Amino acid sequence: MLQLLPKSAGIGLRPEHYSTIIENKPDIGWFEILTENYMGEGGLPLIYLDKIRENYPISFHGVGMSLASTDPLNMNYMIQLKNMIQRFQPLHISDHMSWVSVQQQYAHELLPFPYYPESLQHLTDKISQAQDFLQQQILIENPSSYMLFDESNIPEWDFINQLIDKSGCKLLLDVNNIYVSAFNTGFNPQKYIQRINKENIAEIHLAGFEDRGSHLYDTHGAVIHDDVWSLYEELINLTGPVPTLIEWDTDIPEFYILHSEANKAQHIINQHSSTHNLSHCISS
Amino acid sequence: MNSLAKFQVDFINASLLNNEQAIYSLKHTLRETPQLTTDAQISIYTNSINSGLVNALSNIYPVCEKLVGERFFHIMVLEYIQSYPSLSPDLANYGADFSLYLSSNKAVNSVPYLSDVAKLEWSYHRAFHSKDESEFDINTLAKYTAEQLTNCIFLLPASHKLIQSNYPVDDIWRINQTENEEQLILDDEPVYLFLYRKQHEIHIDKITKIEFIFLQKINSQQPFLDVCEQLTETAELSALLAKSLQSGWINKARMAV
Repeated sequence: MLQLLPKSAGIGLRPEHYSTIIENKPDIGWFEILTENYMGEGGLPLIYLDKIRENYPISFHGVGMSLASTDPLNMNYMIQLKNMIQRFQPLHISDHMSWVSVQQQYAHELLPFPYYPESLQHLTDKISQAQDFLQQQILIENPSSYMLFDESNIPEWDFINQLIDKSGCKLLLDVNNIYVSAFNTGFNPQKYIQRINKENIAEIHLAGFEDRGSHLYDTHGAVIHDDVWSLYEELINLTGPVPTLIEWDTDIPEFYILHSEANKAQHIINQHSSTHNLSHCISS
Repeated sequence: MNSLAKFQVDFINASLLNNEQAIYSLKHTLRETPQLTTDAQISIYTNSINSGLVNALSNIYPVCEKLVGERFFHIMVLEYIQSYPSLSPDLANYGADFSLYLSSNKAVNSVPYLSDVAKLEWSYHRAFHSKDESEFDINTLAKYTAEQLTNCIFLLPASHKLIQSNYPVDDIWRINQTENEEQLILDDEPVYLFLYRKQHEIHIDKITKIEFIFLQKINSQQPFLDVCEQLTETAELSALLAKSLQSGWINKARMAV
């Protein structure tokens, strides 16, 4: 079973902030690491991670499982991941509802696929294999999308709900990805939030995007857009507190900017924590 | 091949290899949106894949990029991607063959040292992520008899790389770490380098040809006596061993079975 992260705001760990975090021990609920950045045999990144793990819960977020790929799981990668799990004891292990490789060629980019029964069954099987090997429940993240498929005949929220029912994994819901995909492929983000099974959500991601005119691009390189904050608040209102990560991967700013975004998320979590508790008291 | 597998192969061939047949097939699985044509949808992913790989190689090969300029480096990486696909989920493993690619690229004939600079940068990158090793206490060797020492197998750091070049690639690399304009005279003297990580610091030591050959032999992991026998023409083997131990070029020893 999944060990749970604190239901508070976390920040994506980046090398630019190692010293600040180790020296100042900022008041942050948890840190997420990009799994592949720590797959080397040794060196400074692993030493810094050991130090940070002493003081904070962490989660592993990967891009290498290539779960939707029609290739079998890359067992070298899975063994490395399992070794890392034993060493660092992350509370969540997540990857994406996408593929990054086929015929053993890696694109190192999260790639889309059509949602239909064949892909649903395929992804279910791969997630089950990954969980069986790791002997651990994993989380999968909804993608940001820039493609619309003729063959897709299941809406993404239904696809995810069915996938989780069949595979027994949990959901890492990226609210920015919902907003970006909704704009690019033309669905209603509120409908997505309403229809997704809230009980499956174990973690939330928030990030910034770039408006490129014809489409929104998920850069993880800007502050979170006001519309995404609103969508997040709407979601938290429905779910109650959920561990929420501030992601920032490009043009990494000073740590205090990430901390300030995390504080905004924490404020929303706190607000809805009290209202959620209140509504529980009233209903019982 | 089922339809999902065919779709994925088409996608990779369209976006990574710019294969026309694959682009045609992929386009026919897509639907236009009010803002994005099917071509535009494919382009977003193609650009994203390419820029991710260009950034990765730019981080590993900053000096090569500086030597040829950002724009030309970008063009070279796009060409490299076509011939050398990434075969590992870990992006840090991508780019091992860039030096090989450069050595056969006629467009960089005017920068004949570029391939060797790439070899140095790749070795530096690998050393950064190599296995951590404890410091070797050379005093432990003091308790060995002379006979035991000849039976010892000496080991080089896991992070090490022996590099030989006809150009002063270490100086080229060093000068390009700063913005300072420094002139370098390229003479015909070959250079021999020993690159390794000691604790968390990467060292690039200039060594002599004799030291290079000695360390190559040590790296074959034979008992020291066998190494000595193969280097009969080399004088001062004990001095070479002492220097290698003191410099940290040798960081482990074990008895031959």
